Amino acid sequence: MTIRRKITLLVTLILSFSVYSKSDSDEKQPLPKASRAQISDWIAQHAVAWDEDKKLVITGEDCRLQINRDNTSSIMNLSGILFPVEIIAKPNSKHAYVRVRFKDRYSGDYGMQKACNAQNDFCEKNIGKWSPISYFDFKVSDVVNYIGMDRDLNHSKSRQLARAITHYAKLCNATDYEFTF
Amino acid sequence: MKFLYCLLLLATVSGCTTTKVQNVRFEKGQLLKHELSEPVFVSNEYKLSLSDNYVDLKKVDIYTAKEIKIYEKVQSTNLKREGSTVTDSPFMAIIGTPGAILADIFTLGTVGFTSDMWVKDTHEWETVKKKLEDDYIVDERAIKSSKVFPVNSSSVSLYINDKYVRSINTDASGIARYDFAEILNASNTHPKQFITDKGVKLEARFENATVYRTIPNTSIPEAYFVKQFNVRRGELEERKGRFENCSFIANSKREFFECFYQK
Repeated sequence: MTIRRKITLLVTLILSFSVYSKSDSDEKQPLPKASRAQISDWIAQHAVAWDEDKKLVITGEDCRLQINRDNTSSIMNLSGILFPVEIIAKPNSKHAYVRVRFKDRYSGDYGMQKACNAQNDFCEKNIGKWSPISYFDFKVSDVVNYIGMDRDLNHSKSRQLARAITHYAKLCNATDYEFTF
Repeated sequence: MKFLYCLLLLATVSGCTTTKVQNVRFEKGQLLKHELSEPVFVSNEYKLSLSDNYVDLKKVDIYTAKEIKIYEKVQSTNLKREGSTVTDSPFMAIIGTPGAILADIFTLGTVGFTSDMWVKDTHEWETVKKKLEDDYIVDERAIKSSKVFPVNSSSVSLYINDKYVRSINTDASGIARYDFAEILNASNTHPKQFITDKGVKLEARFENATVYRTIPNTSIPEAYFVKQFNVRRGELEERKGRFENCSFIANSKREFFECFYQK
């Protein structure tokens, strides 16, 4: 075996090893997190799917979500979320609620709502007064009581929604603080 | 003695014993004279009207003409029929003067006058009227008329919410044009006033004449809000979240301001 052949073999070995190690490291890396547009779509689709009320339309882009129901239209700005996004139960309700609170709760800087009624063709026309809201509840419908249940599908749905909203808010530069107690 | 009886009988028959004549009423008989004076200039005034994009300035000259109708004066027959206190004595009946004689009085007699005098010399007319009313029924009516002229090359002042903004000049037809969006911008008034105060008061003034319109928020031109949006962008973006939310919701800059300033 000539020196040239030896060198060629060595190079081939080194190359094949580097290719193998690269694919190995790829597998170990976590999946890339959803982008703003992706997470916005995910929230819109899942929040609507998991709320079994009559009408719910969610539209949004660029860190804003507009949520239209029969009688209200709400808008939230994800950059003004007050962490953490909570999962709560309400008295006499079998559903879980994902509560998103806003900073500057009385200014309407991050959350606003207006009534949809006959005067504005149920929000078809842009007439009416936007009022500040301090929080917005996404309902996660359930077939059994949420209250008292710890780990079930319903809980995981609401937890997933809360995580998605948190992730979206962080992509929108909603600030949280590290505390040392 | 017989003579006395006869006299008493005559008095009874003639009915002249009735004395309550103070309630005698008269009504119009035949129309004896109808006069209409030439219109006489009384005063003038300026009149402004305000349209969407122009002001119209006019001078109005006001004239008055006097219409006089003189009727014969006849005792009201209604009163007689109702059996009131009026005497029915034929001796006491007041008979209207025939029209021909009255016409002579007007044209030749001491109370003769021209129609001009009726208006020009009020005192004279009042005297004449008083005399006439003893024997006739006089109907007097003032007829107002006016002539309107455009006022050119005059400066009309425009005010926004009672604050002077600028003056504009009228052309040959008395019209001064303006751009409402521009006037609003020049007023430097904050747009939130128009959103929350339910509109804007635009007023035009010239001497004593004024005219104003209250323009509702929905009729304020979009051009104004576009301009104000750019001018005040820094100030608006201080409330970043609301700025973004309202930008998202609104289909126009007017809607943006509505959203931004409605609490």
